Amino acid sequence: MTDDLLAITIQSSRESIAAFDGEQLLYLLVNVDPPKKTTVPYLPRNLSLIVDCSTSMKGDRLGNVKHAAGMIVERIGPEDKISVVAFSDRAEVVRPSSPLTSKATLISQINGIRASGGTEIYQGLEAGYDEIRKSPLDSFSNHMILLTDGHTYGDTKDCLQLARDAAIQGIDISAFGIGDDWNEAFLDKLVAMSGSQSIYIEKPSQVVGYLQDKIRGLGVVFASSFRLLYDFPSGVELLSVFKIAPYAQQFVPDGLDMRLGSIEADSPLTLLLEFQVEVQNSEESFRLPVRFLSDIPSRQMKDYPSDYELEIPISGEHDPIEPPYQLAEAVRALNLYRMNERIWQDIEEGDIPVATRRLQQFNTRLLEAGHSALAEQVELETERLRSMGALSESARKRLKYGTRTLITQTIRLES
Amino acid sequence: MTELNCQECNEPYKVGALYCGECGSRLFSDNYETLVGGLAAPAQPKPITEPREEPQVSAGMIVFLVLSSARRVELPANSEIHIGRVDPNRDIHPHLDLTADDGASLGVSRLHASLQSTENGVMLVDLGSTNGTYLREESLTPHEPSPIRNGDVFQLGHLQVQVFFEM
Repeated sequence: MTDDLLAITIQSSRESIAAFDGEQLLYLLVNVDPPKKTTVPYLPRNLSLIVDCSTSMKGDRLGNVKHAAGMIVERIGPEDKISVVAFSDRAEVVRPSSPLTSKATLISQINGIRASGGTEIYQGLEAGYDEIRKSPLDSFSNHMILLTDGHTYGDTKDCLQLARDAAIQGIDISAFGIGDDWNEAFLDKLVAMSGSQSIYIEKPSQVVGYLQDKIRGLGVVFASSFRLLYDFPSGVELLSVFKIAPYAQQFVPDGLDMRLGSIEADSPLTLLLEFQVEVQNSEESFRLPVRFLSDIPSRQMKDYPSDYELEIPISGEHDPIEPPYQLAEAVRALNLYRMNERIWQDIEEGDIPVATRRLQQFNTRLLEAGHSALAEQVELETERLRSMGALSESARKRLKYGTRTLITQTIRLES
Repeated sequence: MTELNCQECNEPYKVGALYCGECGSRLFSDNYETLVGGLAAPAQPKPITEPREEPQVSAGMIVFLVLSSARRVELPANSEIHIGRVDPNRDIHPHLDLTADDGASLGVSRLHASLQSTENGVMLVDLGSTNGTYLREESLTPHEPSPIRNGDVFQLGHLQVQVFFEM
């Protein structure tokens, strides 16, 4: 079923479901197509750049962030607003939220940032949140971009609460983690509140490209606060949600409606949903409603519904499963991502022999799937684990974000 | 309730699972590989096609030679030159457009790579392309600049381009 504004198409991993006494798995590949850009009026951007300037950012890291921030001025239009916050264990509004009238002024404001002190992310987020809310949020596409290289102390709950409040008001938060000494589980949770993205930046020289990419991606927003309603029939449990396009991000269902970010004109949203279902023998078909809500600023619409009802025949026997190609490849990539997560769990629990065995298996599966560069990396880490009994933080992040990106590659065969 | 076990590692799995969570092996249709064979062959670095004779490069210009089509494109040596395929619908207009060189079927992304002139020389940067960028048979890490020399051949997906510029 499609509707006028957002066209929803769904592929299912099953053509039929057996009347089977027990829990079984069902995967759905959901594609949400917005209209063409030419039909959508430009929604000005309201950006807040929140830059960690703690002591550890000194040198190349802050240098590249400044360079990158200076380059994004090229992407800021006359109707857009931008604010810049520098934070360590306190925050300073380097540039209050305002339209860009002079590129030179913004660049000199950014260049004035100096590194010192510890890392308290909440300080920075709060100042950026205050700046972004100075504008009428309904008239803008609102985005906070956090760049940090460290662990925050004692304020993670406050950060998550702020991200939750911001998401409800239509403000997305993306996060860039630079280097190895930051907490990816925390940043993933932070961005998940609004359905946005966390990005690993291994080397400072990569900041410029990734930040430019992000700003370029904040194109013409068609639908904001796109969310999946957690409203499924009894016997159906949503186990995981993985955003595949326009970028890879995993979300953990918690029984509440799930925010999945904004949808830009011309840029489809693709999701992989994993369900556990129990099917009743007495029914002829298995029905699963998949319902979304979003806000459409160009139409002044709030809570616009996009619904789809999936119907799969119930069969008396186990039919062979032959999933559509793209769906199967996406599930394969999801499985690789999970295999990697399990390896790190083993390492954390000190079970090095099992972790080593799993790394070898993981390497084989990566090679089978044609991901030779990542497989080579895994081979290297297997040797390191075998000889040293431990792996570095950078290996952990490289493999986590490397396998996460695989899932997007399966869908974007042609980008 | 049906008991199912992975044929490779014997771990149990649920009906409807597509891959084994323990060993990663595929749990459905034995014909799958033949059904999808060749659909997703990832790009790999290829031996470099014989480069053409070094062309004349005017001052302040960069010359690109697309090796498969022998097309020559000369562009001003701006601070950043985007390489990819034009897409008017998405407002993407790379300076070096490889559409005419069969870029789409050779795996060139719309915004595939860029050439940047920096204080440290000319750099090639992969812009997070789907099928990768290769320089001297090495795959580039996305968004990480790599120095490129006059006369180098680089590969975008499956398409090779040679670049000439004045140092």
